[in-house]
Amino acid sequence: MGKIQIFIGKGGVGKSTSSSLFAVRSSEEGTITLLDSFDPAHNLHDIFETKFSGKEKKVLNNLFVRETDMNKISQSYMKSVKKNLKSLYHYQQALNIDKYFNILKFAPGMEEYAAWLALEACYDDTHFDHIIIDTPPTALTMKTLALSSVNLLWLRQLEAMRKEIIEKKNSVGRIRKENLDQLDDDPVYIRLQKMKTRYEKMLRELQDRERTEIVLILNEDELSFSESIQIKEDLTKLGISIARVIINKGEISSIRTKAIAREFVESEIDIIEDYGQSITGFDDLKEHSQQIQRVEK
Amino acid sequence: MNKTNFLVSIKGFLNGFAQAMNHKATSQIAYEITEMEHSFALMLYGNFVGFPSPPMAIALELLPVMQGDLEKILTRASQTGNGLSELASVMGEP
Repeated sequence: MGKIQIFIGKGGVGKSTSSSLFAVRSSEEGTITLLDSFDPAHNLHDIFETKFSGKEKKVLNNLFVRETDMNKISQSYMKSVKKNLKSLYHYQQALNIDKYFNILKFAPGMEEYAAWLALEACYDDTHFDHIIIDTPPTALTMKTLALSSVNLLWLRQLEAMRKEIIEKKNSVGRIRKENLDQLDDDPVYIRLQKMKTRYEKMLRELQDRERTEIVLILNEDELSFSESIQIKEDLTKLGISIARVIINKGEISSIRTKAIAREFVESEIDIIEDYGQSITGFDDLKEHSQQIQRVEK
Repeated sequence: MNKTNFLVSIKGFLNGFAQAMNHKATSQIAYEITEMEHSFALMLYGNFVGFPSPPMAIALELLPVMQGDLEKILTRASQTGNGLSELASVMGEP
């Protein structure tokens, strides 16, 4: 099982640049690496000066890059649900299923669910030793990371309700000498269990520091710093810790760097210096990936 | 009618009587179960008809196995408006 690094942070702090540098460095060390962009506003193709799609493309000896299309993931998920609904189609008039499906991708929660499915696919992927995920700006990523916990709350509630229904039915069935329902035969209960298993697995993976490394990117400005503290608090509530902090366009000896080091005591801290221009193309990436500095504590 | 037949008839009558009593005794719980199932389905698919509901992913994932429960929602929707008489028939005579 490979390691998964999830790069998170405020919009514009340099997540794509940092994740690209780390991906190049990892591949140069001989690790088979996948760099995957979840950000709908993909910009890996600008950094690598190469066209990408949802299918991974080999760009260096051990490095593959792809730009996951969340819309496509949503659509194929909808298609699979629709396919299962053939038998329900005579309910359409009352429930407006078809009409509802057309606008479903705009429904609250669908965007982060698509990202959650893409994340799950990364955890199930066995082709790579190391997967680096470049995420959209903070809000959506936080929702995606919180989805497992939120949905588990619902699933546990629904499971308890279903259990109570089956138990009550059986207590009536026993008195009336009717056939009893088994909890394990109830298709709804079975499906609730399956879902619960998936979300619990994902939550375990996210909380496992050996398997998942949450990498927080920030700049030296006040706004970026205070949002990072908020991100840390929100992740702590989910039982997820920040393993690494990258100060993009930072200085190793600045006062802010010291303040960040004090705030993120349990995280490794790396610095990518300000080179005064954008990092684009393979030569730039290879050169600067070797210049990432570690802050000694 | 010989004695055995007579006893069987009596037994059958008593069994039927017991069954009817059991039904009567459990009909309130049975009604409660129907209501619980109805709430369960409404909780999941309420937003199809305007109620707030759980994360869409959960509702969609369960949709294919909720056929029976959806029937209950729709039956309920078509019969709505006479809830009182429904309750009265469960509670029995005053």
